[in-house]
Amino acid sequence: MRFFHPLYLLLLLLTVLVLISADKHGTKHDFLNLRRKYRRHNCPKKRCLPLHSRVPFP
Amino acid sequence: MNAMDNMTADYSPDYFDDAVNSSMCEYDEWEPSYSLIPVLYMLIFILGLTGNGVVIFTVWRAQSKRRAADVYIGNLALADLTFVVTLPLWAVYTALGYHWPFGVALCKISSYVVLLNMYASVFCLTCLSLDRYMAIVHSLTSTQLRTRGHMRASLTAIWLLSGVLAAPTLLFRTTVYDVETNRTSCAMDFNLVVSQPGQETYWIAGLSISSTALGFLIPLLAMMVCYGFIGCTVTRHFNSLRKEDQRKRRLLKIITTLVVVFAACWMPFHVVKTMDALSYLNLAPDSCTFLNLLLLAHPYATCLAYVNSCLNPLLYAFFDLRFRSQCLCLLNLKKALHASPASSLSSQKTEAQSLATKV
Repeated sequence: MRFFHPLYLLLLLLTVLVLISADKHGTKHDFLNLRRKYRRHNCPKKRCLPLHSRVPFP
Repeated sequence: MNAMDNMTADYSPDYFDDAVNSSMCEYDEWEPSYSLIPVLYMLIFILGLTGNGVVIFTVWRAQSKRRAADVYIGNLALADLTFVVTLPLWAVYTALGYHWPFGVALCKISSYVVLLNMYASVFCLTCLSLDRYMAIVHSLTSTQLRTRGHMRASLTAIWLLSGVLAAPTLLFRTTVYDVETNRTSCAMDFNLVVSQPGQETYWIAGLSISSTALGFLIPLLAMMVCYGFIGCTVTRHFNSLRKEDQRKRRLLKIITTLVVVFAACWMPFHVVKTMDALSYLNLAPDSCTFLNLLLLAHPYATCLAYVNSCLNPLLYAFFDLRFRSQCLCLLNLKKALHASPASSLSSQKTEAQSLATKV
């Protein structure tokens, strides 16, 4: 177990550096480009996608 | 599909129009949900079908050793089994981008079956809790009430009441074709009962809130009250538990776990659904951002609710030593019947009986 302690510290240090680097560049971090994977629905009225049309519950 | 619906791009959440009572909204759905949700549905289907099937088989075969709780557990498994049987349909529906290709009849029937068994499942759990309450708190006076006839009557009432409560979905659920998206959805259509535009809102909110109240809140409160009294009684007599009482306590732990798991699985779903219903009534935010949040959370909350149907048999099988023993006995006896040597058959039967005796 003692062998892994330096490894944990190294991983923690890398994480901090990544966060600092992200803040330094002033950009929001888009993890795995999740924000790009969205399907857009334009609704002429507010509730064109009622929840009851997605699942068998009222 | 509409080309606009297939478009995926980088949109900022701030893009949404947050104006209250706005007549237009733009919703973003997480694209992987269209493949992830069906996979989860099919996984739940396989696990639920297997687990509940084993429970039903075990309870059915162990007729002479059947306890009152086992009958309720068996009915719970039956409800969960028929609950998950319809999941392949809804998996395909989701994978096709919420296009229902199975026709009106299956839309109505599968929706009805799901709702019927949702109610039956929660009512079985409630009756199970009441049975334990009477057996533990009123053990001396409940003998006349906890008869086989009364149990059959309560089970009949459970299924009849569930059938009645699920009837509105059989009436209103139908397929609705959308010209713009060229898709047919399986949704609620209130044109049969709505004569003015604003009335549909009250029907949607009313059915949603009533199903949450009858299918979750009231049963959960009843179960909590029962287990509150049971907990007091068990605590009071902790040191004087006899061997039989220890078995009751073990069964009590199993049922308590079932109830806790039920609450944990179904609560997110009912919270999301209720918030949506309240927003129809202007009692909760109805901004585009809020509605989009509900839309994103809803399929995963539904998956978690479905997970409950395949967790129940696992919990029961892992925690109930007697049930596990009965199941193993049946499997061993079944294997023994196919064994060629008569001596091997005899020895396996003896081993199975010995295992049952130990438990």
